[in-house]
Amino acid sequence: MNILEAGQALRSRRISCLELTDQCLDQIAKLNPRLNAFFTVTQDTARIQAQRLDHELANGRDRGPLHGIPIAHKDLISTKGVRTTSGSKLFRDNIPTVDAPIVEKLAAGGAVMLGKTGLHELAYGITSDNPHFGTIRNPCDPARIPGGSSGGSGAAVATDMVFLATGTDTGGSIRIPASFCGVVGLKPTYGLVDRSGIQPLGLSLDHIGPLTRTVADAGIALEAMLDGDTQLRPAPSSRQNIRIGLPENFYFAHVSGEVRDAVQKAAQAAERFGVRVTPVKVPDIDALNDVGRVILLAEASAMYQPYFSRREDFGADVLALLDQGRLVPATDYINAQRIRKMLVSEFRALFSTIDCLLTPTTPTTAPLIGQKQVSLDGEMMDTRLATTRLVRGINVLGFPALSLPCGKSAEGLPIGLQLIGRPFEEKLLLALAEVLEARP
Amino acid sequence: MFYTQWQLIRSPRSSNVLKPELSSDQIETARLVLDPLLTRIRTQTEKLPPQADSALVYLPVDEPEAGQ
Repeated sequence: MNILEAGQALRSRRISCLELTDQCLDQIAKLNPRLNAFFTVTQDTARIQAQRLDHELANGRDRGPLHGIPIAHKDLISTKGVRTTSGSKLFRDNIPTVDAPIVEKLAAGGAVMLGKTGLHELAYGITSDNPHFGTIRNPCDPARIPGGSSGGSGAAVATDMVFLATGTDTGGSIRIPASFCGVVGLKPTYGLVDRSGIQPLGLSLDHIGPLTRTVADAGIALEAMLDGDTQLRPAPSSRQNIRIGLPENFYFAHVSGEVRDAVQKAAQAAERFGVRVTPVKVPDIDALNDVGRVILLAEASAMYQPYFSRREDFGADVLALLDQGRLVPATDYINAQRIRKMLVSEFRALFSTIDCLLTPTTPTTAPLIGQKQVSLDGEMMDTRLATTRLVRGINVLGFPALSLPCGKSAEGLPIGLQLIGRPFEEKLLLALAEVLEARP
Repeated sequence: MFYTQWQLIRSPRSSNVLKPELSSDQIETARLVLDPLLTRIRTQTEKLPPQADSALVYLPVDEPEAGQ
């Protein structure tokens, strides 16, 4: 069942908000001890909220498509009176006194918050193997990572614990768990969704967005996250007017054969549906990734400078990155920002000839927990750098991107494809993703 | 008043600012990863046009507030 179907069931009184909430809470009680998708479950307040929303529906008040829908927030998003740890020992006892605007917006839309989903420490990594709050596991194979940093959100949505979970994405942290867990993850245009009240990591790279079961649900979630006066560009009236660029360079190199085949089959399906697919040469993605790494190292270390004396409170991988960031000279940070601007111009030129790029989201399916390296075309690569290499650059650009399941490996692990669009053209991405989602 | 670099390094007042907060081992470990990355950034920097955009820094549209 997706958000649309649940909404129909609620409005036809086939199920109540409380029953729907209880179903999800039962699922959490059953699966969370094994998966650790939730760091905090707010069962009591969720049930009270659901009863209130039932009362509203009975009295003719309908808040819209999220009315009575169980959701969760990533545990770095401030929730009034509910512990918000950012997956860090530093914030173990942090209880915010106000809600982040995104929490207020979704609650105003009638969503029922069931709790806080787990994440990689400080959202600074892709495994969600958290040294302070436990390892989050992939529901498709608990020996594997769910991806990160929004790993709990991906696992919770994939297992029907909630219909929607929020995520943040600084270098792929929404799209990677979406790919590894087999759900939809949308990173909107930079700045489109209000980041206030959310623990920052990279100030010029952080994005907020939804993870959901379906593309239509991602569209509903995005609408609910926006300010009321935000106007997105409409999607083209016909799919024949959409031009997909299929990269000839970078994106299909150093990618597993299964991933490459699945994504290329999706491109062929798009063509059969009447979408125009043309091969394109993309700008220097290696340079884009290097720019993203330098900017993030410096920005994250600037953010955590007040805590440098508390080295024992950081996990080893996060501490290593913070140490590296402390040694980035200001000159290199500024020049990385200058190169960023040049690369954005090159991508804007590319996007004058196409409407979106279609690529794999991750070069492999989910690695094993603790796996330090992955093999790509016979070459061993660091797991973190390999997993982020197709997604990190898009945070540097600030363009919207969406990850959509597009098949499974021989081992039954999900494979994700990525659609990248022009700024504020999320509706085009969603329309195209719905076409691909519907293919047999 | 002008200081030489030596004076700055030796000055008790400035030593807190200039003294590396990481140990030499920690710096060496970090540099193993960082130096190749910075070398590539500097190579890219050399490719920038000399009169590259004067509005050079990509600024976020707003300043997020910390979650605490």
